Amino acid sequence: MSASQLATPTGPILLTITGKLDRANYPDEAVFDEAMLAALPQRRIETSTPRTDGKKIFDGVLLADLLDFVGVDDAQTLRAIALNEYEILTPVSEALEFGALLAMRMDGRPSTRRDKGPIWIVYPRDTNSRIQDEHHDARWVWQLTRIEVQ
Amino acid sequence: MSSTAKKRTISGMTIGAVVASALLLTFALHRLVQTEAELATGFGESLLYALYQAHDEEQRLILKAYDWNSSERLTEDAEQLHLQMDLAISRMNVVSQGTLGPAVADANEATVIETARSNLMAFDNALQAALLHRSAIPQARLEVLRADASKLKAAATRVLIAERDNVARQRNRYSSVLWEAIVAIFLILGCGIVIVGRLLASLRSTARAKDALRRDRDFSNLLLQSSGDGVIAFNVDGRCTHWNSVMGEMFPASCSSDVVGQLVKDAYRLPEDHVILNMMCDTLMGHSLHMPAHPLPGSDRYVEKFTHPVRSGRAIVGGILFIRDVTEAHLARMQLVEHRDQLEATVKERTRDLEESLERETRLRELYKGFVSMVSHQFRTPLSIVDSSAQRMIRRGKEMSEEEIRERAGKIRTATLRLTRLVSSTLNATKLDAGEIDFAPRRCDLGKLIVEACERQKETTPNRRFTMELDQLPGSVSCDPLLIDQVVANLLSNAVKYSSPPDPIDVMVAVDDRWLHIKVSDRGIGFSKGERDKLFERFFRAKAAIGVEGTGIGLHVARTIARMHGGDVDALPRNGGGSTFVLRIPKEEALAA
Repeated sequence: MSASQLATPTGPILLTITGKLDRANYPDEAVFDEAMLAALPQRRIETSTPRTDGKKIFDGVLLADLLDFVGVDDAQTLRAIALNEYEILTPVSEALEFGALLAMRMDGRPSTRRDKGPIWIVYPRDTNSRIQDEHHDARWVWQLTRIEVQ
Repeated sequence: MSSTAKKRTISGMTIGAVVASALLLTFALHRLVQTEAELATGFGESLLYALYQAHDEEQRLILKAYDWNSSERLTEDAEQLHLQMDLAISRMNVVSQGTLGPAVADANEATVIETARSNLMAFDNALQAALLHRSAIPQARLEVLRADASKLKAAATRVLIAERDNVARQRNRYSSVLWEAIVAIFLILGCGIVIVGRLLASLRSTARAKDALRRDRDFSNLLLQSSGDGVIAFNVDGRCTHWNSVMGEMFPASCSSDVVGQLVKDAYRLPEDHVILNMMCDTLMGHSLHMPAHPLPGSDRYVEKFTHPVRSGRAIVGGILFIRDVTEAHLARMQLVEHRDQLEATVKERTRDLEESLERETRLRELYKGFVSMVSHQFRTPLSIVDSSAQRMIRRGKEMSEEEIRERAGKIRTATLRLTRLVSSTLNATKLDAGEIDFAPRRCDLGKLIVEACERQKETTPNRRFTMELDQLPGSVSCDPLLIDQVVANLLSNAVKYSSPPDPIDVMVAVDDRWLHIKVSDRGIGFSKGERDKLFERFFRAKAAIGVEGTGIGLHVARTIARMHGGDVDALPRNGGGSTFVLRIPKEEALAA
């Protein structure tokens, strides 16, 4: 069973991924604490956002890297769920194509629950005019807590 | 209104319609774009949603706080409450901060939100203390939060109503813009109908013009084909544009295909400097040319060529070449010319005949005049001698001695002899003129002939002396000796008659490459310059010769005989006085014989 391949989190759980996974630490679940996420490759995006004024610098893990890490194959849709139960469906292909990033730092500071943290799905909005609309803005899930791969 | 002005008006209307369409289209697009931009702005909905979220999280917080106060306050409950606190604050931040801040200010809800936020932060302080000490949250704080939740709800209601008004206003504005756009579209449609109408009309008129053009062309072709002349039209490149079958019959093209559309030069395979190409070239420079009737090479036909430049306005756009078969007319004219020439020749001939007759008549009259004059002079003297002798014999009768009778009779005889000589020489000349003298050339010794003539002359006039230079004379000469003897004797007797003893008479023979010259010179009275040619006319007597016996026939006869031999007799004044007469006969004649 591949579940043994993923370490067991030691700190507070920030993110849970469910679905058909090659790597997990619970049955059909991959659970991450802050250290586990920080161990994955870190990427940076600089962009303006529909929720803040001015440009912001975001650091975090690429969704593509994370899905690779847990071994997601031929998934069609992601259901992203926030702490306040906000949820939205996103086609996997589009999320990967548009370069979705699970940001944990904004302008160098760790994001808190009180300010859209600890994880905010952001996109390089300024460099891609195709995602500069409300339909795509709705995929900027903040206070992300759970991703269901379908 | 003139048709030009009408056309201009119609063109103006069309352009106006196009411009109006463009302006209306621009206007409608501008209004629609403006409206689209307005649609994109407006935060009413988002603000409403954010207020709802803030209100909801605050309500949940209040519920969780009541639960905390009434429960056992476990660590798990504390976690839950803390999470709910964070969520409520984050939602409140969304409303009060970020992109929604200005929208809140616009909706005049900033005070409400600010109060709610500061109250929430105060509640947070109280909550953290309660969580730390596992104590109850003060009721007063909860009451404030509940009041804030109500205010948030009321604010949401106000935003909703304002948003509805705003949407209604926007809808009205969109509606008016839509109507403007619809009107603009109808106007554009109207303009479009006008333009399409113009297009159809112009298509129709183009079709009509084409039709008229085709009829004109058919008519032109009919004219062209029915013309008896060969016609070929060409453009400035020398390319054939029109051509008729008559031309094809007269000038069959070298190429088998249609001549129209080809270069005339290629169609007929003409060399660069061909006369037709030169004519075409000159025609394109604006000259009208005409080449008069000339034979068509390789046929018995005659043609005339005409060319005229074809102009469009002031520019020359081509030329037209006519080739006309003028064989009949040309032949008729040629015949006419031939007849005229014949007629002229006939007239000339007749005129010449008449002139000759006239000359002959004139000469004859002159001849008679000369003859009568000669007779009156020469015949009168011997006749008067005869008459006076006869009178004397009648008067004396028997008194006349035999001696005297013999003397008188002798005078009569001498006079008669002289008359006879005169008559015979005149007859001789007449015979000569009438061609009744036989010309019988043969080889003879001309030197001997001259010497014998001199001897005979000496017998008559023994007191005259002759010097002779006959060294150059060839052994034998071809001539008629009887006639030449007559000439030489005449020249010698003239020399004797018109000079006086003791002056000698010189006879000399000279030879050049063509002629024998027999010169007889005297030192006598000579002749005046004006008489030189007349000396040889019949019955002419020089003025100096008056009183000397002679008929004026001798030199005429001499010249006639010399000319029968192909030579001549000429008279020259002698150096030192007197005259020289030269008989010239050709040497060739001598050799040929």
